[in-house]
Amino acid sequence: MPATSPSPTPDASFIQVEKFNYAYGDHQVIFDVDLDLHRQDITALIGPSGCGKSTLLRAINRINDLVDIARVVSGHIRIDGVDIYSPEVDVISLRRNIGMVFQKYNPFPRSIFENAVYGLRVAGVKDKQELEEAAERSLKLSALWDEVKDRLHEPATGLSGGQQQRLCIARAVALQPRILLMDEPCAALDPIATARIEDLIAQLRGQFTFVIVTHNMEQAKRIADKTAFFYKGKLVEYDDTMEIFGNPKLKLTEQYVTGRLV
Amino acid sequence: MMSNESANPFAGDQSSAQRRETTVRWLLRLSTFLIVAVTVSIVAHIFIKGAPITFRKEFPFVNVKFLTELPGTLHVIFDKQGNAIETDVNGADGIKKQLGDNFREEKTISYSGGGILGPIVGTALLVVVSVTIALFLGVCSAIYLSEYASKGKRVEMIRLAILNLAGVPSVVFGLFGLGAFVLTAPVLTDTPHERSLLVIPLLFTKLSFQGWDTCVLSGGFTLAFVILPVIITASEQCLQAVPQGFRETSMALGATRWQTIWRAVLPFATPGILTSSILGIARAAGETAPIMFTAALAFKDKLPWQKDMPPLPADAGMFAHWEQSVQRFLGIFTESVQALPYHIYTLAARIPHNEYSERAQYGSVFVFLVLVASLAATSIWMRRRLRGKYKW
Repeated sequence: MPATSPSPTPDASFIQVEKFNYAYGDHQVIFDVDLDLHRQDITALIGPSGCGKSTLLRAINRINDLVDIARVVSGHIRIDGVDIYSPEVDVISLRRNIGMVFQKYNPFPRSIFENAVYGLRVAGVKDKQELEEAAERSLKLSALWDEVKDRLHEPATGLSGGQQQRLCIARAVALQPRILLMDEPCAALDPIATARIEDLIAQLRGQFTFVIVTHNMEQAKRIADKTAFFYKGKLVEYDDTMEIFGNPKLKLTEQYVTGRLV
Repeated sequence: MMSNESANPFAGDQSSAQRRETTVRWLLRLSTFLIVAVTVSIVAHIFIKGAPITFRKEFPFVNVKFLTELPGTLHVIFDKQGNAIETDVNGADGIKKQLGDNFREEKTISYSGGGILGPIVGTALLVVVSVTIALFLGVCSAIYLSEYASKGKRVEMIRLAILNLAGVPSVVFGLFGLGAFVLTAPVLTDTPHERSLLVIPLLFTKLSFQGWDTCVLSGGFTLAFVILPVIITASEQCLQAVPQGFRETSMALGATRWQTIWRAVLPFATPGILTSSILGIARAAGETAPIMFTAALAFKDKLPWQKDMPPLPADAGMFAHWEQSVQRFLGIFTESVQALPYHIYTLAARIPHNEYSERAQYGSVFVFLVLVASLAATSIWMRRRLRGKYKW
């Protein structure tokens, strides 16, 4: 789907990043980032390695809390108006509402079915029928159902790389989150598998609010409504994808998207 | 041959560097072969001397008596023709009477008669108790170190302490076990021993720090501490080997840290942890010093469950029978036992050496070796099965 198509819902701030500063120990990696992500949009975060885009992504579901020395220096991230770093927030239920897909596809070495329902299992769902329905729904959503419906109880590690990554997407959408975070979801895949993942994201447009980190400019152009360009921990430019790639306001952005920034 | 042939530029010139290279290679090769040769000769020696005692040429092909009887004193009776008849204490008088005037001499050799069932059972019990305790404690602390503790100086100190524990000589563990478990560990009792260090009255009974005496439990705990460092270190490595991505994915799906460990880390580390416990089992079975003061006896004429119990009244109900069975089972762990390594030590060093004691000794060593090897084989088999199930 071309990036020029209008977003399905009118602009409504959903994820608000405010004056956000983030550090690993004494090493600050995100500086004063202000960013409003819109409901149901697909937003691409681009920028050279080490620019802080992955860290920002991992700060949205607080998975970076696992890194001992990671900390918020100042600022806020609000989702639907709720400051997710405030002490009252339950991190577990926050993460249940935010799906995440990682760069390296990493299904657990269990069956396809068990992978698809992992989130429900840890949420305490025991009802067999409910689990089966959820597995079918999420595998259909991730366009994997037809390929695996006859071998749900075979090991997930027997699938191809692209199938494994779609299983990871199924696993993430099984909990029916509102947000899907993707950290370079196609970096480990071949072009055909990449195209299938991009098709899938296009199909899911409007059902989730996507935030996708990518190094692939063409991918950002193809799938994203909005693009945010980061450089050395700062947000340089954030606009419609068309504008960022076709008519960047800043020289730095233009240099990067045309591949002239070293 | 042509005289003007130029010298081959690649022809070998035995320079000193090359000679040194050859020397080093042979030195390394010989060292390696020497180790193999020593291993093979140990195993062959024990096999040649021990197998004939354990196995029989005719059906049932194993020496049943040796494997199923308790050790006892061996009586060897010589007649005037120089024939030797082996028997136990009960058979000696009969044979002497039978021989009559033909009787010349009787030799008695302690511990060398009968079989080695007592030591086998004792070692098995000690291994089971110690490996259970060590695996539980070891895996728990490995999980803490690998998954919960934040990386820093404190964790490094703990690791250093664990490594130091591995370097403590085993006889020190023996003395520690004597002090801690045999003489001090707390028991619940109504009638505390008079040498009890501390008695805390509870509602219906008393908690007395009077020790557990020499028994399977004391020995098992002591051995557990001997093998703990190996198990902690290896378990921690196995946990670290599970991809970080599994943890992140699991947490991103809303799992708690413990759920993540239980469902997405521990199952995949288990094969490795089991393998590491092989080392623990072999070590626990082989240690002599830690059990000398805490669990093992040179000689015992009963198996741990052959304890005298007051006879039950004829009208005793189901419950009384059940209660006595439970007591009998628990009693196993509060009995002292014989153990294979200690039995071998006794035979080799505490009685005069002769062909009869040597026979019992090599038989025990052979059985011991086979036992440890089969334990290891079981663990390897379990590991391979699990490894096939969880591959990433």
